[in-house]
Amino acid sequence: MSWFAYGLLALIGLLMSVSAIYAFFWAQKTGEFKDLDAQARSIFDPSEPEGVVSDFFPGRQPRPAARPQHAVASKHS
Amino acid sequence: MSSATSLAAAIDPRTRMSQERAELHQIDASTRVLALIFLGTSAAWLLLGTLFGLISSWKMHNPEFLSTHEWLTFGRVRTAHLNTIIYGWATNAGIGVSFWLMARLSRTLLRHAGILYVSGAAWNLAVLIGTFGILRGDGQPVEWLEFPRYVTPLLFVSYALIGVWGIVTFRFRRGEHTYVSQWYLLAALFWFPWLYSVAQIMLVFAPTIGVIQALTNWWFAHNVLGLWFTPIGIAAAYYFIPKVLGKPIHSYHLSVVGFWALAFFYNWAGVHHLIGGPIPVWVQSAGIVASLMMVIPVIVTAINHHLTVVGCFQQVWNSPTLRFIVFGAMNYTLASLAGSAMALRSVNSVTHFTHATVGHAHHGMYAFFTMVMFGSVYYMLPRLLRKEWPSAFLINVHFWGTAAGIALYVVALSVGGWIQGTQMLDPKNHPDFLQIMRDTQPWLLARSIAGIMMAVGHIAFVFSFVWILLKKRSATETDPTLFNTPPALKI
Repeated sequence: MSWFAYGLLALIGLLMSVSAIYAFFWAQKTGEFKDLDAQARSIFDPSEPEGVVSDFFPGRQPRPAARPQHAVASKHS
Repeated sequence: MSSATSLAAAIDPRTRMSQERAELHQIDASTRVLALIFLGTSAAWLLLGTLFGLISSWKMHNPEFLSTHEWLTFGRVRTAHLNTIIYGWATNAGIGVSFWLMARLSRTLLRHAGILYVSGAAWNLAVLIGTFGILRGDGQPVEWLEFPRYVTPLLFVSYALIGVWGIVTFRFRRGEHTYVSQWYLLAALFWFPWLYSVAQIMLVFAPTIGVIQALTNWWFAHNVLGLWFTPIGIAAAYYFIPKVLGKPIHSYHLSVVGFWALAFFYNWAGVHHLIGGPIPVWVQSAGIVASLMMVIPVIVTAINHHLTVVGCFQQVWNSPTLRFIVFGAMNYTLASLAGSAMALRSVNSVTHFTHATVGHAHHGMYAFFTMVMFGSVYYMLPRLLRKEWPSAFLINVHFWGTAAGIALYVVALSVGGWIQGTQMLDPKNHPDFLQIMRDTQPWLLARSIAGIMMAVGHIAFVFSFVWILLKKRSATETDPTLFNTPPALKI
């Protein structure tokens, strides 16, 4: 294997390391490490709200009364 | 619903994002064709890979089985099993799940999905030609990279397009927050082309000398599991567990620690496959240290996944998605801790070169990753197709077949492998190597039985998959799984 290939691979390895360090500081700068509670809740939204179980075996979902009413009210807002 | 952004603008870093946040059902619709292409092909590869796996497993205790045809000899069938599962089933399923998750979490429509259709077709064509090449006898003698060299450039180019498109999708995010799953997915999309291209250059196109090949080989093979499949599996678990239960993850703080710890430590861990080998001892020690440091991200992820589920076991049991994903998350914890233990020199001297290693590989790749992918498919397909799963019975067959099958598989090979290892280290009481080999046979037979149970589960899964694709949406059908269909799409 030629020294050219070794140099190329070393360069790629260096770039990968630099990109990881850059990603870390980028995350720090853009506030990825702040307001963690809001980030944890970002998977919920009005059409798929927090507090509602969203998956059941077919034909075995609980009675509609068992579901929180706000889920129906805020549907597709 | 197609985007207003042109292809050139989409990859131009100066493009500003101006569009509104997309609704989740619009995002699902924009990823429908893409997800169906990748998940559909992955299901087909799963069946083919299972068949190869069963044949090679049977040959372990009945070597004469199908041995008269060179295409079906053990060396080729076992290799075809590995490659169809890794590149056919697991990678296709991972890409399908990744794009759906990435688009949903970024709150953006999938742009110019045509590029992904072409690269998906190219990827699957390459896997098909590669599998054919392996069976024909063209395989490369490098574990996990056995595809013949005439297909690897096609694999790399099609994958690179997929990776770039994942990052472009993230760039167009509209969400105010980044969720931890996005970090894992971005990292995975970014790392895999690096691993694959470096390994190809150093092993196939400009081969290095001697033991550096072995080092590169295991750096690649272990990192495919750790830096490609594992992040996708964890990303899916981090999304689906809180999503289905409707409650946020136990500690978001810990999830951030877990991600950066994984990114920092995993890259070195592959060397533990070469403990005792003719490579510098300091490299082996560094690999052992990295393998043990992996306990940090594993425990952190375990705390998060398991404490989110505590108190909600009824909901987990009632949800096909969570049954599979929580099973997978539990096995991520177990398999990773077992992996760290197996990297210790004292344990490794027993388990190395035994069936225990094979059992451990399936523990990670199947009991964790594959089960998480099954769970994700159970959540995605009803939302993509706007239909309910046709049969709870088939889902149950799938769950019990695969869960009981893989449990038997891992236990049989771990126990059998451990006995094999201790016997080989004890020449005084076990001087006859052939007898040690015969003693493994009952465990290998148990492995084949486990394989048949898993195959039954896979057939039920593919049957469900085809059925939900073909079935008509009935007028009376309400939306049980889809608990709140938007009025515009109300059935």
